[in-house]
Amino acid sequence: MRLRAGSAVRLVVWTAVLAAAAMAAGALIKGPLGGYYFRLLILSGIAVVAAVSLNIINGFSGQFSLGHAGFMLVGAYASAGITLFAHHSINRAFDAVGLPAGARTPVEFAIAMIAAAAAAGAVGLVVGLPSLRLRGDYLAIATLGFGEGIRSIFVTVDALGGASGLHDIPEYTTLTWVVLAAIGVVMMSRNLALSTHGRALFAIREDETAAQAVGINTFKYKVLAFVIAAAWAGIAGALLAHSDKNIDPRSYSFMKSIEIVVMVVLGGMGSVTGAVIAAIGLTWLPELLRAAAVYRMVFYSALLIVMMIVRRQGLFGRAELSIRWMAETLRRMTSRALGERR
Amino acid sequence: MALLEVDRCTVAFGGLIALDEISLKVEQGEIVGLIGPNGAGKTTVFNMITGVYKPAKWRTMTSETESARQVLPTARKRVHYGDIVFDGKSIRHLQPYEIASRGIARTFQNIRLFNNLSVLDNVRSACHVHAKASIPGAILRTEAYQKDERRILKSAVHLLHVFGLGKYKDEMAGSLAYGEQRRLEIARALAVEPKLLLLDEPAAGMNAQETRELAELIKQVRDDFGLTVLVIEHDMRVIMSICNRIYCLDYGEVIAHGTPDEIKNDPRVIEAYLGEG
Repeated sequence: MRLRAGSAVRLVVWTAVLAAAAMAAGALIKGPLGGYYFRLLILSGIAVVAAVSLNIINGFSGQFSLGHAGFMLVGAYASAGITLFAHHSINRAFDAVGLPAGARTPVEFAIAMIAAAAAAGAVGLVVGLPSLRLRGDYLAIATLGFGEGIRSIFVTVDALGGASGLHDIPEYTTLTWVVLAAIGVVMMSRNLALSTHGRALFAIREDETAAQAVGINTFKYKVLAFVIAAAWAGIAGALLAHSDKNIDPRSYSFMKSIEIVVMVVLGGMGSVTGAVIAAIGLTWLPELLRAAAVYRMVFYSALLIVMMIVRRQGLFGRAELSIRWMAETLRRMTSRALGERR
Repeated sequence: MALLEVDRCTVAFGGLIALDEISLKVEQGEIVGLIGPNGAGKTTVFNMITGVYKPAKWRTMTSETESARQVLPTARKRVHYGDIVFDGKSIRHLQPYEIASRGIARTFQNIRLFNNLSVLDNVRSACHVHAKASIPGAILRTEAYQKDERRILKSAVHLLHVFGLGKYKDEMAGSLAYGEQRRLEIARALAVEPKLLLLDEPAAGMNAQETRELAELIKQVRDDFGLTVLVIEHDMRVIMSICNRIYCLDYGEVIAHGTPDEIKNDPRVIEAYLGEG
């Protein structure tokens, strides 16, 4: 690929502007918001990364993966491995190149996240190659099995931390990192969806036989979607591990995968903005329902059930939330209301 | 040399021989018809050419009688695979998507559009074969990628106008009327920029007027796009009016082939359709 200077410069400038804005916003709101809500903000950002990336598999390509938490776990361990065990050698390398003290933590964390993405992407490739030959329910079962299998490996092998997981992970995750990752995955999804590669994924979702008949290498694209999504799940895992300051493999179970699937389904399969809103909503909802004490999860489930009855296609269906979409919906609703009055 | 040559290909599903050593040739620029009673194996021929089914290997014995096969299990066998040669190259081993990118596009008997994509995106998704943009290029929206997307958009819109579907370009494909869905499927196939177009019962479910228009459209498309067409059709008015040559299939075998006039008067064809007189 020949990367024109224009797009590379644009990418760097936008990243810098966003990072600065997120940093400033984080510093401004952390005090008034309080530690509890600030942490919820971070968790919802991580949920966005997980849900939007899963949407690439479940929403765009129409395959059903139930193993997303497994890839998050791979990313969590890979990044923690770097910040815990390679910390000193990385710092020696920083000494050698004379990197200023302020830039060390971000660069180290960036390396850890790239490692997380690479490791999770590689595991995604290994899992995807055999299991993407399956379809529908069988694929869901296979990915579920792989996800739990990955977790079992981390729990059983003592050299990887064993059942107690990893502790004393530095708290590197800031609002800035979370915002950058969330915007990164959203922009990537959107640009992918608008391109010929995104249309290939949609074609596979709609009709695999017809997709092949127009020359789309369906297997390659399914694996590709799987690997990209797994890599972003790895980044989500890295962010979560460096926010929790420990990795408890039990919290990356099959239930975690289901939670992410629920976000994608609720937002509307294939809708990027839907996944974003559902991820944020479903992170805050159980916390806001704390007032209902023991009935909290009852309300939560009831809300999901009602939602699926009233709007089976999810909040946005396949549409994206945009100014144009809002304007059109508003116009439709008002004209309907006026029409009824007449 | 023929554009497409199917040489003694057999397709079997378990013990059922769906196609029995089928051979057929399609010359550059021809419109060739494939007819035959229901269950004769016409669609299986399409599925075999497009790589959905692979030709089976089959064996001939040096002694060809059935009893020889039983008595002499070790008799010398010759293994044949049959071969499908398109544009001078064998395509027998290729995957369906590879065959499409070599230049064979098809439509389906029971329309298979991407129903929840717009009419425009149905055609654009078939331009994929000729898209040059890499995935990183698409994600970073490079100049080269944007130029490529503009080119795809332009050719897709052009195709839609040729097929009179321009005004529906933002509608969902699934919401189109039946005849328009048929036309959109042909437009989508043409977006692959094929050399050979396979049409599976394009006139099914159309009224007389629509059928006449369709026959004209097929001829026009052949001329304008420099295509070769292989068409399965039950409507004999369509077949007789547009085809240069016709193959007639029955029970997985070619029972006759020739010009429309020859086929019309062939006793074996009449028998296959109407039974023995």
